[in-house]
Amino acid sequence: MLEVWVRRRSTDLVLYILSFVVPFTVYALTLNGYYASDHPNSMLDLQYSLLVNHTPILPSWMASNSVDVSLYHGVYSSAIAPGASILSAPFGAVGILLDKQFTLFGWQRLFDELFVALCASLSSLLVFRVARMFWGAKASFFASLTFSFGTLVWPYATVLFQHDVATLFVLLGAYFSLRGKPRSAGFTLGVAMLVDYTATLFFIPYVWLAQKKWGLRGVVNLSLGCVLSGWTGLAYNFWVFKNPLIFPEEYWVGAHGSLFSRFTPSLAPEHFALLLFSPYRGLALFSPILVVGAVSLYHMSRSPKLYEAAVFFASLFTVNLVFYSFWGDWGGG
Amino acid sequence: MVDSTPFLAIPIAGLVEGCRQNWVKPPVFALYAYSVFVQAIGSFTDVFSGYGGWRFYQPFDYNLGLLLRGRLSVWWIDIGVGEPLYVKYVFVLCTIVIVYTLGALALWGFGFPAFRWLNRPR
Repeated sequence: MLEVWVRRRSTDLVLYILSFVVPFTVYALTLNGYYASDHPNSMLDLQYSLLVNHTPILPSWMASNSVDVSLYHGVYSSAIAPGASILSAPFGAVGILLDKQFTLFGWQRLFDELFVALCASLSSLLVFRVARMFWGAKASFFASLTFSFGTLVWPYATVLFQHDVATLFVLLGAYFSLRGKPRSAGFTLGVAMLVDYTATLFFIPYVWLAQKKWGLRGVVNLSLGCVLSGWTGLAYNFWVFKNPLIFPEEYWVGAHGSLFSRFTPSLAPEHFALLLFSPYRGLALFSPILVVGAVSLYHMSRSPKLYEAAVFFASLFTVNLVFYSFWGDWGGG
Repeated sequence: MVDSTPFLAIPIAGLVEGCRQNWVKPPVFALYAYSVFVQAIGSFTDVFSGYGGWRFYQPFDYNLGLLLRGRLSVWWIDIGVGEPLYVKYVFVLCTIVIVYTLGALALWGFGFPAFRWLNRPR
């Protein structure tokens, strides 16, 4: 009996470890490094500026190398949320030490990409862990492999970009929510919001689950956790703009008009369909395996035991999709 | 959209495990294989692309061409140690084969009885 238990536990542990080691090895070997595109330049600019100049303000010579830059009263800053640049700073610092001077395609970028790969691999492990709460190890491992290699997580794990870093914290929050720890869930969601502003949307499903499971107390704990980490985003805004309620995206140099004017509600249904089914950005064409996930969600919702989890997962997916449908530049989101 | 994908990936485990019909797994694996291929060519070449209209399909209209021309965006390629060109293709092929093999193992376990108990929930 004990022997069977030990064998099961050890095989479970092997798959658990594999769900981290396999993606991390593949991601580390497919990092872009020198061959990377210039899209994430402003994140490198911000990190270098924070570590070396101790300010989030970018010198104009540095800001000119990037497309995602904000200009407010003559002051340049990164238009991207600062979380990924801040969290990957220990990795970037090693790169800067090796580079000895500011360079866009040096060790700093490679080490930051390694950090993103690490985040994506930890997310893969969490997918296994969350799936294992409901199903067997082999099926959970398949879900983890699908997430790691069958979705956009893989290409984005090879470049410096905020998506995979935010995914880790959103997923960690979902894990804590399902495990009955609303304050920890709120705290990790706050970190995700610092990395990617759109992560704020996930607060809605988190609140729904907290309310469903623990009532008002759960919602208060979730909100408290969120404030404990989320204030850093407002502090960053104050540091840059002297106003916590001004966000960098509002003053993006490429923008025409206010932030709200960049939403196109009348085109939302069209964008919704394009984001799901168009060749350009359609999720069903880039990761058709996720259609199986949607079918499975439907089956889960019919089981009283899995209903809550099904609604939680479905709403976590839908809030993001609906939000990007309202965004005018649907293809850039 | 990337941070939403885990919440469609996790439930896949439910369908894979709950479905008793034998015919379900081959189409699931086919969808898995195609998804992995699309993401792989994006990872080996370039995740970003220019706008080409809503009918522009980045994997085939952009990334596959780069891959066939041997233009890989992988940090250790061409670092000056003089590795031959075929190393790139061997690397791409091996990576995809390993990911396919692991997926097939997770789906079927190649019928090894030792894997059967893994289907039971905790």
